[in-house]
Amino acid sequence: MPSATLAPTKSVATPYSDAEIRKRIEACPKLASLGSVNRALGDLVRSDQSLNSQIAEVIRRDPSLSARLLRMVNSVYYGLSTRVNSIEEAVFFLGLRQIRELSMATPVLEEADRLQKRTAAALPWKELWSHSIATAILTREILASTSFQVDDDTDYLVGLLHNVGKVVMASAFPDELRTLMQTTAASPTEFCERERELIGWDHGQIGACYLARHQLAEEIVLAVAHHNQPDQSPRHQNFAAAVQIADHIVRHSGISGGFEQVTAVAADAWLELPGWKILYGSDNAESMLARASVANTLQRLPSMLQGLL
Amino acid sequence: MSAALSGVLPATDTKALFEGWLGSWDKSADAAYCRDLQGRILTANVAFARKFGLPAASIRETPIADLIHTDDFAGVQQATADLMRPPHRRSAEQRWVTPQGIRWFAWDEVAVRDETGTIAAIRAVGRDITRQRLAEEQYFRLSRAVEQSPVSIIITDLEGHAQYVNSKFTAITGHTLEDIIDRRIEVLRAGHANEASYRSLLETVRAGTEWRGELCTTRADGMMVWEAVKVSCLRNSTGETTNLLCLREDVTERKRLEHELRQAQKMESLGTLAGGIAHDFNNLLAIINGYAEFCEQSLHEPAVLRKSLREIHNAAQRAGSLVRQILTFSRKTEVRFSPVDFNQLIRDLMRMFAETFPRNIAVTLDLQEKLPALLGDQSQLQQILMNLCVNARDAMPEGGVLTLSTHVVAGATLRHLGAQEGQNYVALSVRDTGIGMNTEVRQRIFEPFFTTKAGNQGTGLGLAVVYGIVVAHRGHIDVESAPDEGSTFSVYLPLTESAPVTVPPSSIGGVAGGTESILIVDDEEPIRLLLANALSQRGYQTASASTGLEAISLISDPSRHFDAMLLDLNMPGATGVEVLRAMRICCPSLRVIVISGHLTPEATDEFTQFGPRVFMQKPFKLEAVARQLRTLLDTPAE
Repeated sequence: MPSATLAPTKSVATPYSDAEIRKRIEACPKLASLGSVNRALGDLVRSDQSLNSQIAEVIRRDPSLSARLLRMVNSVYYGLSTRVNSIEEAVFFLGLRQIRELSMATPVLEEADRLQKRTAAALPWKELWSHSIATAILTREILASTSFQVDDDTDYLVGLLHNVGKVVMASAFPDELRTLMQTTAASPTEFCERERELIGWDHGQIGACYLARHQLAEEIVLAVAHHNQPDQSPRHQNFAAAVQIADHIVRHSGISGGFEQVTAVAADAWLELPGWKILYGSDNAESMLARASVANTLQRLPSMLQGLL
Repeated sequence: MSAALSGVLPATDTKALFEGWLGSWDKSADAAYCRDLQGRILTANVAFARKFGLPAASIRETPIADLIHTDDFAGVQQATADLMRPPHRRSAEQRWVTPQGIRWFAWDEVAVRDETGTIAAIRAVGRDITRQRLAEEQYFRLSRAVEQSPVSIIITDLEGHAQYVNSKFTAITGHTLEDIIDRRIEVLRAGHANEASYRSLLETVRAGTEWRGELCTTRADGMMVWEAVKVSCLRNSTGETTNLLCLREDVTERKRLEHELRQAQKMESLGTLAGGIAHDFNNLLAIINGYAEFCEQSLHEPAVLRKSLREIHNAAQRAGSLVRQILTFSRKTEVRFSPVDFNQLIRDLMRMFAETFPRNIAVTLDLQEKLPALLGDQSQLQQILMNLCVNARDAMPEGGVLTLSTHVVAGATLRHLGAQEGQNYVALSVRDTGIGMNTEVRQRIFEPFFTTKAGNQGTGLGLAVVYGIVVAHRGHIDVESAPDEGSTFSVYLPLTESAPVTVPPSSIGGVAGGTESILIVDDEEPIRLLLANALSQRGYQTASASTGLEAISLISDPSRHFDAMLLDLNMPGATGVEVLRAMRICCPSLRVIVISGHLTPEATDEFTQFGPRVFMQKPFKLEAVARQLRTLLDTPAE
């Protein structure tokens, strides 16, 4: 649907108040996961031979499971010691039984779609998931190419969770999400504006609010909130910047988020992003190196994603 | 040594080459070695050699199969295959055989390429992690013990937010840790009747003492369960309290058995009294019959009539109180703790004992006046008294004196029994002048099924039940006895801080009357007339209805006005409940006294839903009715 015809609707719709948005996010039930991922996790935790690292590997494929796991471990350890930002550590701290319970209590997206008659067509969850995982892998590679050292999963998690707001929107603002999915935009940043016009907050803010409520680390919360405007993040701009670049590269390689119609990203368009400047500055040599590394990763991306979902 | 390499380079050069592969790890404190693809050691650093007690040079060519634990060797071969694939990097934990015994090592392994770019060797850098490994095993063993415990275990922070629940807890409550966090369930609060009880738990535990209690909670499947709950604090190595630990054990079955045992024993002790009761009842019936005949014969002598009727009235009163006593005692009641006036309890029971105990036993009371109320279950406390008194009776087959006394004692004087120092106790002593006990018997009297009574006279449960009840009330029991010197049982029950039980004003002096208009509803004409007469004498206006329907039509008639209604429960046609229902619609402000021969808890429940009501049990005293009525009418409207 062309955006022009939607313009009047948008101007009529009044965005929600902050309080109302918060209330809806609070009321958001357990985030659902892809059936295939949850089945794989279920198989693993039923066997006593599984290693924490294998379990963590499967959970890393799922933004919902990762968010729920982290919020559980951080609620439990909240205020006592440091935040847990590593999936494998979370699995270790909580123990196998909690993971088994987590997997048993996981609503499955495909089933939720079938039950929800209001949604005419099933939401393209699988695309959203592929996009999240690809962004996560790329974010990690991008940060590894800088001098910035990360020794837990934060670099991966910011990429994986950057679109968790869309999963929250599916249950907190289903009608608006449907309207948005038919909206077109020239860039991710522009799409965020559409979201703010319709709801009041964009998916970054919604996701960040959800994660902050559950005591996730500030680095993750800020990166998710500002992944489309990394230069506006008050702290930890590296993470948001890396997510922005990763997001664009993934889009360029044809893995769009699935939940919106944004014009495809042209090659090297990321060189103009605020995120690129934050990470590599205007130093040409470093920028060149980074470009080479990105080109390298871009080639490997499809094979890395294969068989994950 | 790899055949390909040895063909190309002289031995000294290969040594230098391999050492080059070790790179800067050569001088590292971590152990490092290179092995070829067949698993032979090419070179190793000093740290590695020292670990295995060998000079670095002699290690070359040693197959690692000789050094590695046989169980872990298969993993090494798999690792070599893995390292051939990208990212050519891998970590592993293995047991190695060293002169110090079997040690755990954690290795980071990478593939090493020769100058032609083909993978020629594997470099492993690692360290001894035996200590961590043992600590981990200990950790897992302890965590499995908690995890698989048959008791529910909960660990919370100091605010009571759950941090861990074991699988038993999840199985019983249906709540997983995620649920608890999601829905912000306060796991320690479950089963606490009120905020005060929960707060006292938190205060007790934060003060560093253990909290114990029995709480009733609802299981996931909706069943009510009794749980014995213990909450204590967990301290870290510096002694700070960091967490609360809560253990909950299902004791529903034990509770049920205890309850059944108490009920059975109660029936048993009642049985031993039954003979006396039947005898007594027959006496009363004889009195009633006799005087009734007297009346028939003396119809024209008012003085004789009046005297006879008074005797009949007295006998009927005594029979009534006897029946009430037995009913109160035998009724199967829910355990309910409420303030109890112990002296009153003793006086009530004494009335029954006076009727049923042999005449050669004198009962004397020595009760401390204004005894503070104690928190307890009335029916269980009755059972204590009953059992101790029946035992005293049986200890005095030749007769004697039974003395009951009450007084308040400070916990400090009862330290030998384990009493709490700052706590005051009510002491109840039951003293007999009977045969007494020797030490052997005295030591065993609280054991279930221990009895000195012959044949089928007792089951040996009486004192065991007394003991159980005393413990349930957090009290203590003590006994002094010697052969032929009688026995004294002393029960100490902790006092609550509440005010003394308010005794209803005594019936000394006449009861005030009134001029209000009263409706009397009862299907039995004699009772209706009796009440109407008694109330008119005190100045009230009365009207009466013989059925529920009649009562409904009277109260719904707008031209009539009543201030209060005396309502019988069991009537043919519309019952008392239906009258109340109609009343709620047409004149909700009407005050009501409900009168019934037998008030079941179900009926009471049914009534209280119509608002609070005054209940009176049949048979009643006219004076009591008048007093209740006055009180009711004087209560300000809600």
